[in-house]
Parts: sequence; structure tokens; C-alpha cells
Amino acid sequence: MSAPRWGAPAADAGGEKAAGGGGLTLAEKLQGKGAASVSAAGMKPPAKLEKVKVDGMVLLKIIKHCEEAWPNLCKGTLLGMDVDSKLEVTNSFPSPGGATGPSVQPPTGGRNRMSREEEEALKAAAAKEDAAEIDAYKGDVLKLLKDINIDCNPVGWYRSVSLSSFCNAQVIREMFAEQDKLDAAVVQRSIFLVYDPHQTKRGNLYFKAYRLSDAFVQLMRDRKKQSSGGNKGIVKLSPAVVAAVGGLKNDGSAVMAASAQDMDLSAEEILEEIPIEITNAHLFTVLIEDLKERNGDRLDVDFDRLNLSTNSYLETNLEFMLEEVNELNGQQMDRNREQKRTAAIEAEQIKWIQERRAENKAREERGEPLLPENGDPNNNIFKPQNSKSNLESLLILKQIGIYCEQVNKFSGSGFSKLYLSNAVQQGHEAAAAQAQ
Amino acid sequence: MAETTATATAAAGEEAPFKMVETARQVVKMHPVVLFAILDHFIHRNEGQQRVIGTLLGTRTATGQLVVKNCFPVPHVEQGDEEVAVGKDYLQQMLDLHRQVNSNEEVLGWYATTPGQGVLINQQSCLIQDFYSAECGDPLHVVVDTSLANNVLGVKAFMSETVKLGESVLAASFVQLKVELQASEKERIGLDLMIKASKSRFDQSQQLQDSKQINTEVENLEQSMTRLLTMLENVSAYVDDVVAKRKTPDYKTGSKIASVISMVPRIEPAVFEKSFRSNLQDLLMVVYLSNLTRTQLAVAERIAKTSTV
Repeated sequence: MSAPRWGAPAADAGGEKAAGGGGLTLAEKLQGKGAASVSAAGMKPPAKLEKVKVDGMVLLKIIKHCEEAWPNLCKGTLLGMDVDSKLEVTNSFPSPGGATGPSVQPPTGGRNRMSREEEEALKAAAAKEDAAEIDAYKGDVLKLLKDINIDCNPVGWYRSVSLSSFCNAQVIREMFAEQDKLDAAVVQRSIFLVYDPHQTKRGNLYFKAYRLSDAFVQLMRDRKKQSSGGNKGIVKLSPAVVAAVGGLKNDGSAVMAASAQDMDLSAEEILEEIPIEITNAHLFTVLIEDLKERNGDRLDVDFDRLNLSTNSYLETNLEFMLEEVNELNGQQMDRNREQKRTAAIEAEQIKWIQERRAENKAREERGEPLLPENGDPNNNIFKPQNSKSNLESLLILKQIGIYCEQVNKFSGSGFSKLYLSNAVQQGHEAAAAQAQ
Repeated sequence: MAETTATATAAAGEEAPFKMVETARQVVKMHPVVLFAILDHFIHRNEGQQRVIGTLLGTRTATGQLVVKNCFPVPHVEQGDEEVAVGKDYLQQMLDLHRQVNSNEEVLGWYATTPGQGVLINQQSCLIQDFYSAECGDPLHVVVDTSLANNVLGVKAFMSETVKLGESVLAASFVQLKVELQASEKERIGLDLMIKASKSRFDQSQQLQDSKQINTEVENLEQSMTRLLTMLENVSAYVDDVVAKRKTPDYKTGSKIASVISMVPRIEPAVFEKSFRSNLQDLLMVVYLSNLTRTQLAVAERIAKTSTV
């Protein structure tokens, strides 16, 4: 439970009920929402998370785990403490089984959409089973760690990624589930760390801390509620229809407007990156000095960075990017089709309401009871459309954005290295000329 | 936790049943994470507790080479000189949990921190060694010197050999092994960062910092280049000094410098020019593409937004 907007635990419990019971009416939900915002105003929202302090040992542990599992992806739990504006990660332990997500190979093109959805459903079911197992495992480990005075306070989780390709619906859903659980149970501001074995090389470390933004978490929660709530017997009119006919009082429209507002989220706003700092305990510093003294140059990575080869990395990056752009294109085409369909349905709805109004007018004149104007739940055109979420396209946007950033960063240092080698070559030539 | 205690008493008599033999006939490879984990355990010890112990995990190659990759703490209680209680249940449970994640690692032995100033192994060590020989044959014992005697944090590894006279066991003799740090490329990168973090603690600036942000790639590159430059300057200053007869030439250094210089590949200027250009063009093209994509993204995002509202 992270969102300052939602704040109070009581209100959230109400939300959970709605998700579980499914029979809650909209009015009750809205009431719940109102109550939440009132009490949230009274409660001080937790301070914004400014940085994550990661213990050097945790970094090494994560590297070890992820490297050993590579090329499979893996994940684990982070333990630590929540102190003021920073989160201190002081220990970690791996989880059994791998993490979901695309593997090293870029996804093959030309996938069948239907079969992919089925596949995802299957995967989700399997993931649920795994999750229960992993939870049990976590509980066991935590119990044991408590006995030896380790902070057994889960503050987040880590996972390995390949070329930062973690922005897909499945991974995000997993993140959401974890963050939701952790935020509600232990800390208000859980994080997740990603470590990329593919990009950690030649002296550069790829290690980042993220958090799903509050706005996004809110959006996911709303959707979870909406999909499980069912809204039976209530007609939802889109704002466009309401605006077209005017003068309708409709709970549904309020909800639609609210969720549309939530959808107004740019790709950049899904994830918040939180700066990481590496810290060492005092004894660690002693050990490090000792290791440095004894191993000297063997630990030096400064010159690994001057490696000139760039092609394979850029190639893979571009390949991944191309794949995502294709996907985005498909999504946009879907969206266009859907928009056309929605427009047609809305036109029908408007027609229906206008006819009904005319009929009501006639009835009023005749003194007969009025018929409801808000639509007929039994009529096909008022059946709720399962509009496709734009979550996926948002994620693709974010993912492509990440690839672009990576390419730019990488080529930035590529340029520098290239010019360095140029300088060396020119110096060499000059020296040769002088010698002659 | 239901504590089953494995209590053992000294097999031999009152006399000190061990002696230390300093030979380095075998090398133990150790991953850095193990050392840090041991220290972390020591930092989190109970109040008043002298030392901590735990289990070492790793692999044993066919040739008998030990590679210590992992470890976990085990609670224990020492009472007097003759009695040690080790959390056997705890050890077993933790081991089971570890196996679920990594089935390749086996128990190699145990670690401990120093029980007192200047003491590496004491009476209880023999008992625990005895206990671990039931967990794995021929246990390895690693001692991390947390007493910081002689201002070093020493890491020492031992294997025990029993000294027998006929049937009766007289003593355990701990034979020291050589410990070598083994770090993969990725681990070195992690360590490098930790080194930088500990450096920033002792920065010239007065304020004490105890952490370090992860540098971006470009910052890292700059650092590498600066270092390369200072090294080159050092070398050229040395060569200048020698040429100007301010310094007596050292032939070893001279031949090293010569070999380094000869390692710079001789590339025909035309060939280099060509490859330089093509590389540059590749990079420029890629950057152009990615910027183009970014522009497209901005447009796509607008479309996605307007279509939902």
C-alpha cells in the first residue's frame, strides 16, 4: 500500500473486499474511495524514497546468484531497513526456480496473437503455483535468518534481466504483485533491483533500482477491482456519449472518467528509478584494503573499459528494438480498429438514448411512467466492451525508450573510445615519421 | 527452533591436542562474497559472543581442488573449554533450503572468526572440526582474523589430520593451506565498486562519506582514460629523465616500456583511416536511428493518449 492518495489501511481493506467478494456495488466502491481520500488527507504520506543504499555484500551476492543461473533468469529477496528518505538493503537471499521473462535470445518474429495469449494464461497459472512455493520458501529462510540476528525485514526483491528487457506485461504484473504485497505488509516503499549479466562487463556494472510509480500502482489496483467487481447490471457510458446527449446523471460515467484520467499516464511515468549507493561496513573496508594489498592489479578493471569492440552489443540492442517496434506497430493497428468499433457503438448508444428520450416525452404527455434513460443493460450495445488496455503499448513504449537510451549511452562512449584510438594511431604515425 | 545439540567432548586428554604445521601444499580458492558474508555474520553476532561459526559451501574438483563459493551462519554455544553445542537442526534446514536454489554446492567445511587476540584455533575448534567431519569427509576450516592483530584481516585455511598412535587418536593437527582469491569478471566489477566506495570514505574532503553511487558508463570511461593518461605521463617523465641523465637507467623497466610500446599495433594509415571512418559511420547511423525512434515514440505516445480519452 504505497499511494499517498489511498493512504489509510481501512480504506484499502475495503478495496480488498471488493476484489474478493465481487458483489460490491459501484456506489459502495465510490463511497470507499471518498472515505479513503478523506482519511488520506489526515494521514501524513510517507516521504518520497530518495535513494537506496545497497551493502557491498548484497551486490556480490546478487552477482553470484544471477551469474550462476545465467542464461536463465533468477530472482531473490532483499532484506533491510527503511530509514527516512532512504532504503537500506543489508542482506539478500535467492529464491528457488527462475524468473519469468524473455531469455537471452530475441523473441522470434511472427507470433500468433491468440496462441500467445493462451500461453500467457498458462504461464500465469504456473507462476501462481510457483509463487506459493516461493512464499513458503521465503518464510522458511526468514525464520532461520531471524535466529542469527539478520534483519529479516523484506524490503524488496531483485531479479536478473537480459539487456534491460523487463518492460513487458508479465514482468510488470509480477512487479505489481510483489510491490503491492510488500508495501501493504512491511514497508511502505519496497523496491526492486535489476541486475543485467548481459551488460555487466568490461568494467561497467548494470545495477538499477526501480519502483512502480504510485500513479501506476493505483491504475493497476483500479483495474484489478474493475475486472473482479463485475459491475453487473450497471451500464457504463463513455464520456463521449454522455457529452453528446448531455444531462445524464450516471455513476458509471464518473467511474469511466476517473479511470480515463488514470490512463493519462505517459510511458516515462510507469517506473521510477531510484539512485543506488553502495556502502561498506567498517570491517568490509578493512577486508577490501587487505584484498587490494594482496591482489593488486588482479582486481583492477579500469582498463577493461577501453575495449573497442562495440558491434555485437549494438547489434543485439538494435535487434531487440526492431522487435519491439514491430510489436508497437501491431498494437497501434489494433487500436485503430478498436477505435472505429467503439465509435460505431457509441453512435448507436446515442441513437438509442435519443429515441428513448423521445419516447419518454410522449409518455410524459400521456401521463405514463417514464422509462430509464441511462441505457438498458440487456441491450447488446450497452454490454460493457472489454476494451483492450493500453498498458501493453505503454510498456512497449517504455521498453523502446530504454533501448534507445542504452544505444545512445553506449555509442557515446564508443565515440570517445574511437577517438582515443585515433589519437593513439596518429601519435604512432607521428613517431614513425620522426624516426624516419 | 528445536535445538538438537551435538555435544562432543575432547577425545584426547588434557594436553593441548593440536599443533600447527605451516605448509602450503594445497591451494583453496575462495570467492570474495564468502569473506564478506563471514564478516557480516560477525558484525551481527550476539552481544558478548566471542566468535561466530558457519558452514562453507562450494565445489570439490576431481583433483581435490577446493573452491569455496558460498557460506551460511550456524548458531553455536561454547561452554567452558570442553563443550560446544552446534545447531545441527539449523544447519540441516539451512542446507536443505540452499540445495533448492543451488544443488551443485556441497558442504566443504566450516568457518570461524578468531576466538581471541592472536589465537586462531583453540580446543573447541577441534570439537567443531570433529562435528563437521560427520557432515563432509575431511572438512576445511577457514579462520578469519577479526581480532585485527597486526593490523591485518587475515584469512587462513586449515585441514586437519589426526595423529594416531595405534588405535587411539592422540591429537588433531591442523595443516595450513594457501588461500587464493578467485573472482570472476563480474565479481571484480562489483569489488571495484566496493573499493571505490571505501575510497570515497577516506576522501581528502573533510566530510565522511560512506557510500558511492554507481557511475555511468561515460564517467567510468573518463576515469579509465584519465588513469591511462597519468600512467603514460609517468612513463614519459621517466624516459625523459633517463634521456636527460637525471636518473640512472633501469634495463628491466626499459625493456618493459619497449615491449608495451611494441604492442601498439602498426596499422597502415590508410587502413586505419578506413576502419575508423566505417566505425564512426556505423555509430553515427545507430545514434541517428535511435533518435529517430525516440521521435516516433513521442508521437506514438500522443496517439495512445488521445485514443483513450
